[in-house]
Amino acid sequence: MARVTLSDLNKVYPTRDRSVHAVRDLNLTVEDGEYVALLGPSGCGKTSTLRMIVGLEDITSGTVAFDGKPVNDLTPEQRNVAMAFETYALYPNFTAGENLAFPLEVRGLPKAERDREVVRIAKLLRIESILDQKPAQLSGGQQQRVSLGRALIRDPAAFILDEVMSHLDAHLKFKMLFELKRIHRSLGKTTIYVTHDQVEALALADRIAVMSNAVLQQYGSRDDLYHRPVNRFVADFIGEPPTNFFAGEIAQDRDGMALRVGGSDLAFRPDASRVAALQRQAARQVTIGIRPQNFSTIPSPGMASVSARVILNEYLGEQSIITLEAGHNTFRALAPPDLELSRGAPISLYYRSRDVMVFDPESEKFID
Amino acid sequence: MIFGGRDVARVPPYRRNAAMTFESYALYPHMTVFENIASPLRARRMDEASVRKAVFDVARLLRIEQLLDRRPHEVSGGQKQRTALGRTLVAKPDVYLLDEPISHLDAKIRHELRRQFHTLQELRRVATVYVTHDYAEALSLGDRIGVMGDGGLIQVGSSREVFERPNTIFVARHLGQPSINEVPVRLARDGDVLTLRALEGDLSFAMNGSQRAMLEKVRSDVLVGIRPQYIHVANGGSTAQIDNARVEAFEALGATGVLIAVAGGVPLTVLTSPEENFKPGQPVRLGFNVERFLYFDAVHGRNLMA
Repeated sequence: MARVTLSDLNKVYPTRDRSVHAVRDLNLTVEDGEYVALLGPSGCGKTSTLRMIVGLEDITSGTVAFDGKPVNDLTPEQRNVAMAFETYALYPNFTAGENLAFPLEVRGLPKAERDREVVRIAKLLRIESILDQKPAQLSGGQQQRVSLGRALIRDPAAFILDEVMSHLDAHLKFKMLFELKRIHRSLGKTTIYVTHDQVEALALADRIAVMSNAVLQQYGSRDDLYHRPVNRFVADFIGEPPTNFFAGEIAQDRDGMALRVGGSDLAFRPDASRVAALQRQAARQVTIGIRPQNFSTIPSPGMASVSARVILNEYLGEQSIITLEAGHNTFRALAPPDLELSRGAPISLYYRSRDVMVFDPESEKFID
Repeated sequence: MIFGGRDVARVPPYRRNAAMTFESYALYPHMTVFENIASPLRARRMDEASVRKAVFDVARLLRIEQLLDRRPHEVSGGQKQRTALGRTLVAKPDVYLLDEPISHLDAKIRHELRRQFHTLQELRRVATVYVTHDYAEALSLGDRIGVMGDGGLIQVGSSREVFERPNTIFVARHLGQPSINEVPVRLARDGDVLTLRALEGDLSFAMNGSQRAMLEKVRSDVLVGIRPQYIHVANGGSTAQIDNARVEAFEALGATGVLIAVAGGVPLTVLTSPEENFKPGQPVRLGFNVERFLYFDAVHGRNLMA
């Protein structure tokens, strides 16, 4: 069990023409027992970070420390970090039970103790009934669990999962999300989880580190990322369906401050708590962001509204995504599935001003 | 197999006049985006001016006109997919076949391309068969959806038909995320009241209305299907509610929250707002939208109301 601290961590890959800076000045602390996700698009530096923590990659500069002690010079074995990969990497000739027992056998644990540990882990992962089967006889989800079990059984200082669910089908992934959470709760082990899938990151992690272009953009809880994204990148990357953005400008009317959207009649009311910060802006230009689920087709007290025209109504079973047009702008809103809307129909959409995000169009920083 | 009145069963693929887009884009790596899109027209020996016009028209439609000089390795995954789609569209075939065309692109591009599929007149005009494992894509795009399993067609219908009136539990299970709750029940008559009683655990619902009339005729056990969106956390006052449920787990996902609550020993998945904050062990009261329950034959899985 360990607290993992990354200080001023850098990774530079030298290539023939130019060097590639894969991780830049990364500072991040994962508390003992915490579940942290490294999230970002491909090429953002998350995998290089993970490989430096495990010891599979040289550190260009900076420190990786476990419980305050630098481990830069330790081998992966000495660091005692367990890792599970996207590919299960199970031994095909061994049964599930033998696969689980293997790391203990390597360490020279006596058979009785190995068996006891295998049973304990199998119970935790709910795979007791398949211990005698070979990997080929198991489903994808079962193989994934055996692979996790093999990492868990070593009783490591930290547990590292690299895109472990990215090729499971949607239904299985959903089940595994809850399984992983349950396992983490009962073990309470420091876990670092690398993924490009925001649903996995949001569902599992206590805190999420969002990376882009080698740089840590934001480190926080789901609520932080959703409600207080530090910049436009985070607001855009986190959220499905994607966040709507509009180019707007700060204006004043008799109801107070309005953020007018160019080329349309749209105007959004910023939250009272943000008016002062917006007034301090030197430029009047802003980027407005609002998430599709923060629009409602039914008004509630305290909500403001905008009007638009429906250009598409996608029925998705649990909900519908409506695509709307106002002037030159198109945007999306979530709506209940039983709403019948025809193309071109005018519609009023209601929102809470606290859900209106505002960014500086130059720096792309969140204005709060 | 008949295309436009012509039996094509013995016609080789290249003479069926069908155009296909694959999940793996299958672009020519040494050709530019322009030449990739133009390739079916070149094969037909179309004159240069017409080729240029056709490619530019399609590229504008797909918003890749500024990429025409690049090679496939110089464009993103979404742009490659649009190039492959452009090559399919330019062919002006009798039938379009799209095989998982957007399934491995990231969420943002998927939304964008889905919108383009809706608005491309060409795809709306010509018969299109679209293969996908993603039910949301199917519901969004299909005029009709054919749900397949075990090598056969299980149901064909509009989005609302297959989602709201699935003909078997198989169809119900495969559409919807999180999956539909399945509760095996026995029908019990207590005097005047018809009750659905869970076979395992202590959960029951009193029936009335039109569903009761249908259920009166059922002699076997029944599998009740309850979509997670038709259970909610109630403040009291719901017609069908369970007062003593307990939270097992709760996850705030993106635009939705998923609650797993145990009611009378039966675990149920509930769709909620992501802004909730339920703690494991917390007591909750669940309300049920009984009119939206689905009933399946417990043995064969057939929808009893279809």
